[in-house]
Amino acid sequence: MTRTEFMAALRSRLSHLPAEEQDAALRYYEEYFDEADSEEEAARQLGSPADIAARILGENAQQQTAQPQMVPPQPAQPPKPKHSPWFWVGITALCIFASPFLLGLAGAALGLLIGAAAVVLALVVAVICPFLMLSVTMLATFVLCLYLAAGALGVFTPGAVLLAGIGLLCGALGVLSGIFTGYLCYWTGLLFGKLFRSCGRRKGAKA
Amino acid sequence: MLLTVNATLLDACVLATLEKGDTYGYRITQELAAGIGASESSLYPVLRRLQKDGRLTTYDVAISGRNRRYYRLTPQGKQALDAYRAEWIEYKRRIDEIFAQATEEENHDAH
Repeated sequence: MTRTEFMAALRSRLSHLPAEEQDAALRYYEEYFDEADSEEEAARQLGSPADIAARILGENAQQQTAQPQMVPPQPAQPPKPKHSPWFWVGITALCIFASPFLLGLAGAALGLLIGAAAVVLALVVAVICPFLMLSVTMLATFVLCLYLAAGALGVFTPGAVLLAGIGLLCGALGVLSGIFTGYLCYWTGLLFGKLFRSCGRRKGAKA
Repeated sequence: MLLTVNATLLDACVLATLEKGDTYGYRITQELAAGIGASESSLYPVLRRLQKDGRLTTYDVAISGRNRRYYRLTPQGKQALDAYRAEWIEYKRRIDEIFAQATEEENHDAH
């Protein structure tokens, strides 16, 4: 490829570039040929004009896309309010006009809650009380039997032993029942504690 | 050469060439082609970009009836070159370290 052919090919491929860029590039390669001892050798070294043009075009495209980054960043716009003031006016009006309904709803919810608590309490009492009564009765029987057995000891020994046995059995049952009642009370306490705490949390979340 | 110079390193090499003194396109191209095997076709875009970035300037000198365009390192270009140098020292150290590890392991395996 001769110098003329090389330069013509390069010129035609750079024709889309701004005139300034074209001139600078063509000038550089003209000078390159001027400096070289042999123009054929220079053309051989430089290779294909298409390849050179592609590099120059690529570099220009990169700079054009990179240029917007050099522009100082725009001052950040203040964040847009999410809702217009009218939205909040509307919400407030709705709250006021719907208050009878909302209060009724809240009252119903509170009533339900109290009712549920009462049911639970009643159930618990209904379960605990028999065991408590059983425990008290058994312990009372234990005391009574031992008292009677002590009285009968000299008079009718086998009866006294029988009474004492019954008394001890009742006593054991009474103690067991008492322990179970204690556990029931403890579990109930835990249950109510959780219930009140969760209620408190819900109220806290509402507030 | 098996290992080739990437675009950033080529920028640094051009700046380093100009640090030795102002010179013109053909000379830079020849020097870098001989020195690191840079292709003759790759130098112009680099010079043009460095010029646009303000790392080098050009001036024309009349010679045998025509103008020869000389390139000169700007203070900004010198600053960039210093940064590249520091970066290169660190890069070289890391590569050396990795290569040294490989040799040590080889010696270890041999014993």
